[in-house]
Amino acid sequence: MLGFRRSGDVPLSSDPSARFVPWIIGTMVFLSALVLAVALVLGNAIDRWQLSHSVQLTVEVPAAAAQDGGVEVALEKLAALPGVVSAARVEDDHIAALLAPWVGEDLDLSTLPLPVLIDVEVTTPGALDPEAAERQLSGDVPGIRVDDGKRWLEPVRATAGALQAIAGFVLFLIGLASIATVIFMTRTGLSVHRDTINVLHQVGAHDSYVARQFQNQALRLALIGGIPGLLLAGLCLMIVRSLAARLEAPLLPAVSFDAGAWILLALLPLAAALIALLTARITVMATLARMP
Amino acid sequence: MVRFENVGLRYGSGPEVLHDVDLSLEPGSYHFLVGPSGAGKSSLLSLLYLARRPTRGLVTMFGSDIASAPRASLPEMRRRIGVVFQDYHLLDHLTTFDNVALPLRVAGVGSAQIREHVMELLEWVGLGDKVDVQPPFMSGGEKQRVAVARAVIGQPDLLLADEPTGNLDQAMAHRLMRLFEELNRQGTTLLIATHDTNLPLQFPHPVLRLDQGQLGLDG
Ligand SMILES: Nc1ncnc2c1ncn2[C@@H]1O[C@H](COP(=O)(O)OP(=O)(O)O)[C@@H](O)[C@H]1O
Ligand SMILES: [Mg+2]
Repeated sequence: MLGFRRSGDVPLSSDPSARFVPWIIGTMVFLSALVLAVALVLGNAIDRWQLSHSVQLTVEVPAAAAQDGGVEVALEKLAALPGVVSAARVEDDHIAALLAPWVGEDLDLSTLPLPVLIDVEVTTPGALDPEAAERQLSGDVPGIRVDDGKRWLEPVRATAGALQAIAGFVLFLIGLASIATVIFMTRTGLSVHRDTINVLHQVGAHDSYVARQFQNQALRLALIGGIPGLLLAGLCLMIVRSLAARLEAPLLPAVSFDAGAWILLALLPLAAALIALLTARITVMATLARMP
Repeated sequence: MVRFENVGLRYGSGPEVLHDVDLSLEPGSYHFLVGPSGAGKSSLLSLLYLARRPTRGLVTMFGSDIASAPRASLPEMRRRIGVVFQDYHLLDHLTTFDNVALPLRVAGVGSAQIREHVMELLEWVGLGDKVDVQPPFMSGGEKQRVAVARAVIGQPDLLLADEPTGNLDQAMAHRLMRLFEELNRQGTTLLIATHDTNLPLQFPHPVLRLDQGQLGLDG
C-alpha cells in the first residue's frame, strides 16, 4: 500500500500543492510538537510534585501552643503515630533564611509570634491521614494543623489541567486544519487530473488504484514537511531545556523530558503522514463513487 | 457479446443524441460504424466502452445489464475492451513503454511479464526505438500506434476504434487496417467508427449507419 513508484500514473508531483503542502504540514507538526511538549512537561511536573509531597507532611504548631510546650508534645505524639518515619522541628535559622528576603537578615525570631513548623516523613504516600491526625492531636495541642500539601497543590493542579486541556484542543484544531489542507489538495488534484483519471478508469483501474496514487503523494508530502518540522521543534525544545537547567527556581520542578515523551514527539510526523494518507484515500474514494 | 435495445442517450438536460438504438455484436464479428460528423458515433462508442451509462433502454455487455451493474464491476469489464481514441488519450508524462503497460499494470500483472509483453508488442507495431519517448515528442502516426498498442496489450475481446485513420497518411492507414484484420482473424470482435464512407468499401465487413442519432444497417 505504501509502495513508491518511480513515476506515478497521475503526475501529482508537478502540482503546485507538492510545493506548498509540505510547508503547511511542517508548520503543523512543529506547532503540535511544541504544544505536546508543554502538555507532557506539565503532566510530568505534576506527577513529581505529587510524588515528592506525598511522603512529606508539614505540621504547624501555633505560637500560643508553642509557648506552652506544645511542640514537644506534638513531636512525641507524631512519632508514635503508625506510618510515621520521622518528625523533626524546622529550625529557627532555616525559617529565618526563608523569611530573610521579606523581613531582613538581622531579625530576632523569638520576638515574633511565629508558629513552629514540624517536618513529618511517612513510610508511603497516604500512610497518614492529615485530617485524622489533626483531630487526634488537637486535644493536646490546640490549633495544630497537619498539611500534606494537597491544599496548595490543588489550585496548581487545576491550572495545569486547564493548560493541558487547552493544549489538547490546540492539537485537535491543528489536526482539523491539516485534514482540511489534504482534502483541498486532493480535490484540486482530482479536478486537475480528470483526463488522466478517465484514462486510468478506461484501461480498467479500480477507484482504489487511483486512490493509491493520491494517498502515496499525500504520505510523501506529509513526511517531506513533517520530519523537518519535528527536527526544528526538537531543536527548540533542547534549547529551552538547557536554559531551564540553569534556572534556579526551587518551586519549579526541572523541565524533564523522558524517553517516552521523545518517542511520542517522534511519532508526530508519522501520525501526520498517516492522517494525510487516510484523508487523501477517503476523499478520492468518496469523490469517485459519485461518478457514473 | 454486446446487445443494445431501445437505447437513448442525452448529455445532461440537452437533446437526445442517440434514439432507440438497437445493436447486437456477435463474438468475432467486425463492423464499421459510419455517419456524418455529429451523428453520434463517438457517443455510441462511449456507451460501448462503459464511459457512461445510457439514459434509457437496455445495454447488455458480456451478459451484464449495464444500467444496474455496480460501479465496482465496471473495471473488470473495461479490461475486456480495448479502445483507440480519436485523439489517442495517451498520458503525456509517461513513456511509450509505460503508456502501453498501463492496462497490465492496473490489472496487477507482474513487472517481468509486463516488460516481456510490452516489448514484444512494441516491436510488432514498429515502435521498438521509441520505448522511452513521451507522447509530446512523437509524430501523430507514432502516437496512433502507441494508442493501438495500449488498446490491444490486454488481448481484449472487443476492440473499438474512433476515426482511427483520420490522422494518418494512406500507407499508415493501410498498415493499421491490416493490423485490425489480423486481430479479427485471431478472434477479437471489432467496431470501427469513421466518417470516411470510402474506408468500408475496401473491406467485406458489414456497415452500421448512424444518422442524427438513429442506427440502421447498410444493405
Ligand atoms: N460530452 C458532450 N457533452 C454534450 N454534448 C455532446 C458531448 N459529446 C458529444 N455531444 C453532442 O452529441 C452529438 C453527437 O456527437 P458525437 O457523438 O461526437 O458524434 P460523432 O462522433 O458522430 O461526430 C453532437 O451534437 C455533439 O455536440
Ligand atoms: Mg466522433
